[in-house]
Amino acid sequence: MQGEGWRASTYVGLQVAAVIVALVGGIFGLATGAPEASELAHDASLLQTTGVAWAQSLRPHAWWVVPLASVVAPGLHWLRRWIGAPWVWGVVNVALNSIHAQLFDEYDGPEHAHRVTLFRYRKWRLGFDPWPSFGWLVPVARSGHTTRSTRARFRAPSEPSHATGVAGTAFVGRGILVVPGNGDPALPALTSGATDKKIRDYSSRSFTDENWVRARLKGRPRSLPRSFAGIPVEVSEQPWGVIVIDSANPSIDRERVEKSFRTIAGTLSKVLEGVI
Amino acid sequence: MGQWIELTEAKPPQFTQHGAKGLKVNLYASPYDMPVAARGGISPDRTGFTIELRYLTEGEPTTDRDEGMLRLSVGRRSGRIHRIRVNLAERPVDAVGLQVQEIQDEVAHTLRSPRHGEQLTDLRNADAVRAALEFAPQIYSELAQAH
Repeated sequence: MQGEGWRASTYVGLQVAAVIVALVGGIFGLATGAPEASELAHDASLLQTTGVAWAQSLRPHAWWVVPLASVVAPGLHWLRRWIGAPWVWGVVNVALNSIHAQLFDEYDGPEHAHRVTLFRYRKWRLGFDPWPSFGWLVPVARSGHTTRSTRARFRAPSEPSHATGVAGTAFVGRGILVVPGNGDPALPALTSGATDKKIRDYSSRSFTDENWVRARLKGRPRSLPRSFAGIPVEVSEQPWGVIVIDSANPSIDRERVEKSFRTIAGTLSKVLEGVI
Repeated sequence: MGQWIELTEAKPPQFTQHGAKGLKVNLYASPYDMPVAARGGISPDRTGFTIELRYLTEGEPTTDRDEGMLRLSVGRRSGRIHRIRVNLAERPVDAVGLQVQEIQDEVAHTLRSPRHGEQLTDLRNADAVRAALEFAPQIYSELAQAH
C-alpha cells in the first residue's frame, strides 16, 4: 500500500505536468500558424521581432511536438484519475475509520489489533511470483495510523477455487464472508514458533498458503489475526474491490459488520467513481 | 403507493460455493444485493400491483422484462430487480377468489426461478429480494385492503 504522502504528491505532480504538456503543445500549435520567413522577406524588421523569431524557431519541431503533447496530456490525466485525488482517499480513510470505530471502539488494546483494509481489484499486475499476473486484489487504504503499510495481495481470478485469502474469496463469491463462520471453532492463535498442525489449520480456514502464513509469522511480535470479515465493494454497480476486517478477537459479528458497512457504503461507492 | 418499509433488519440469504483447496465456503448475500427499503401499491385503475425496491446505491437505469404475470424492471448493469409489477388486468382485485397469498406465491416463485435466468436477472439478488419480501409481508397490505 502506497503512503498517503506519496500518492498526494504524485497526483499533484501529474496535474502540473499535464498542464505544462498541454501548454507546450498549444504554443507549438500556434507556432505552426506563423508566416514563413520567405513571406516576411518584404519586411525584414518583422523577422527581428522577438515573438516572430521565436515562432520561426519552434515551427520546424511542431510536426512531432503537437501530436506527442496531444497523446501525453490525456495520458497524464488518465494516470491522475488512476491514482485518485487526495480528497477521495481522505474520504475513504474516514469511511474505514468509521467502520473501525463502530466495531472495535468498545475494545481495549492497540489500534492495530483490529484493522479495516480496502483492497482494489486489478485485472493484472507486475510481480515476481509463480502465479499468473491476472486478477489480483491489492491494498489501497487502511484504517488508523499504525501498521498502514502492507504488501499483502490476494488472488481473485474468475475461477472461485483459485481465489486466495478472505479478500479473494469474498470478492469472487460476491458475498459477505466471515471467518470463523457461525458455529465454527475459533482460529488458532498463531505466533512465531507455532506447530505445523496449527499453521495448516489456520491457512486452510483463511484460504491462504501454509508458506505464506509461515512468512508472515517470521519476526512478528504479535499473533496473526484470529477473525476476518470480507465485504465486496461495488462502484457503478460493478465489482470494484473488497473491504477486509481483521481482528485479534476470536470472532466477528456478521450483523454488526453489515450494519457498519451500510452506513458508509453509499458514500464510498460514490467517491470511488472518481478513481479509474 | 404505500409507505417505504425499511428492510435493513432482514436476514440476507446464505449460499455455498467451493473455495480454495476445494473447501466449501458459506457466504451471505452482498449488502448491495439486499434491498434496504420497499413499498407496494395498487395502480389507480386497479389493474396492477407494484412493488418498488431501494438499494444501497441508486440511479441505475433499468430495463423491463415480462415474467409471466409479472413485469420486472431490472438494472442494466447489475441485473438487480428495482420494480415488480403484478398484472391484475385479468384478475381485478375485486374479483372473488383472488388471494393475496396467491400473488405473494407468484412473486416468490418467479424470483426463485426467473424465466430469463441470469441473462436478465441477478439470481443472488432475486433470492435477496425474496427474503426481504418474506421479512416484510406488510408490503402487500394495500392489496389485502383492496380485497
